[in-house]
Amino acid sequence: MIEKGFLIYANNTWKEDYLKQAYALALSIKLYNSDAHITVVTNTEPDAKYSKVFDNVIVKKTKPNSLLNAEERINAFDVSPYLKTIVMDADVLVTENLNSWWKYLKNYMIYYASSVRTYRDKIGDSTAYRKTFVQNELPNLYNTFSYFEKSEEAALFYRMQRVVIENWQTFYKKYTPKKQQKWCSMDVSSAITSKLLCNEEQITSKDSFINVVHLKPKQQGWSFRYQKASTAVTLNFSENNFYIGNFKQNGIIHYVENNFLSDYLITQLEEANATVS
Amino acid sequence: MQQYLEFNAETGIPTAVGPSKQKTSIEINDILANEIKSGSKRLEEFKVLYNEKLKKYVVNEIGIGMLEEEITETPASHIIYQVPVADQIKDGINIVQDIKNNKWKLVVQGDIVDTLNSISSNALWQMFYITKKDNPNILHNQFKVDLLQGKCDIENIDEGINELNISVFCKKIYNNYYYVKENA
Repeated sequence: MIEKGFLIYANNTWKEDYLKQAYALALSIKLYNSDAHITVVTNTEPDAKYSKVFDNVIVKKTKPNSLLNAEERINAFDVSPYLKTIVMDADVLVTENLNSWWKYLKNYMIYYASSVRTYRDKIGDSTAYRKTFVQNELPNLYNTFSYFEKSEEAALFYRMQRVVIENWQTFYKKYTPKKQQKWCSMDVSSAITSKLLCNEEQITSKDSFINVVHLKPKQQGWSFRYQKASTAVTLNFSENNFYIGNFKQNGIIHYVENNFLSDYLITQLEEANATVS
Repeated sequence: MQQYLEFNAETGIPTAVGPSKQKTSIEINDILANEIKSGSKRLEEFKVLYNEKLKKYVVNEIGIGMLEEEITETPASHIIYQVPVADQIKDGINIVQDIKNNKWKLVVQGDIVDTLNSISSNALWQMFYITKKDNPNILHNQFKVDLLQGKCDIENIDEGINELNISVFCKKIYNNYYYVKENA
């Protein structure tokens, strides 16, 4: 078994090309982490160009009526070929070497990011998008970035998470009575699982440097209420650094809106990777 | 083969998917059509509504109990638009940098000429910005061009700046802009 690696889910839908996003993410990972091992799980056979950047491609047809493909993501623990796995959403970009992240994660069997930053590197106010979590006192976990080590502890967590997701309507009714999401959410399901196992302190730390630049507009501290963050700022890649607005980025960026991922940005990442290799 | 989503015009509720165009139907892409046909998406997960801004009917996926909004705000990438580099002059608005002679000029050709000529004005100025390569946040210089008269008010860029390590940005008003480097 390979010691550590990255796992990305990229199940395309009629609206979103998640495989393209996963490709850009993999390019950004490899740019700063040349020894990284990356697995993608997808419902679409990738073409040769995409396949080249992934070390391992698992093609798996998605289930009919899948909502946000949550049913697929619960298999991450079983599917991962790694002893230690970082799982990321496809609409993410890595902007630096993650060796210190791996080192920090050695302290955990399971880890979830639980705080977000603005593109100006301020801790963001996530309450606008996390009403279900606040009102129902759930751990504020983000599946955008999570980690697990193959262990009894993690196996128990993901078994429980599977039960929650397979019966999400029942669990949501019981554990989110004050504000309920009407679809099966990985974030809410992970939070309920953590609450059931009383392990929030063992699987996250709000003060950790491991957090995510989350580009949803309402948490950027803007006085104008933009509907989309891409209306207000651009994402640029210059001399191996990412910039949003005029702020150089660090850590990982959850850009959310497809507008940020231009074909030119992908070309730049391809060229930068060619230079590295 | 084209696929159409037939819907009830009063309620917007879809009723069928198929290759034949009905009186009240809109064209949908193959992926969506196949997902509905295979059962992985259900018709009741969608609604067809007239979008005032787009002036057309659009299919909406019902997500969290409300219809997803169709956002038509202009992306910032069109306001801070990076002019793509071209190796030769093309149809559109070309900002040409003569690197050897340190000169800039404007070349407008193709259909855009007719579009511009239809504007009754003596001058039509547009601003362009010279920045660090791929980085609109570091501005080296700015200049304006008269798209009608072909005038360009920049002679050269500041000394000390690597002329090969720059990009050109502008507001994307027309479809085709190019940044052409000559005598590199």
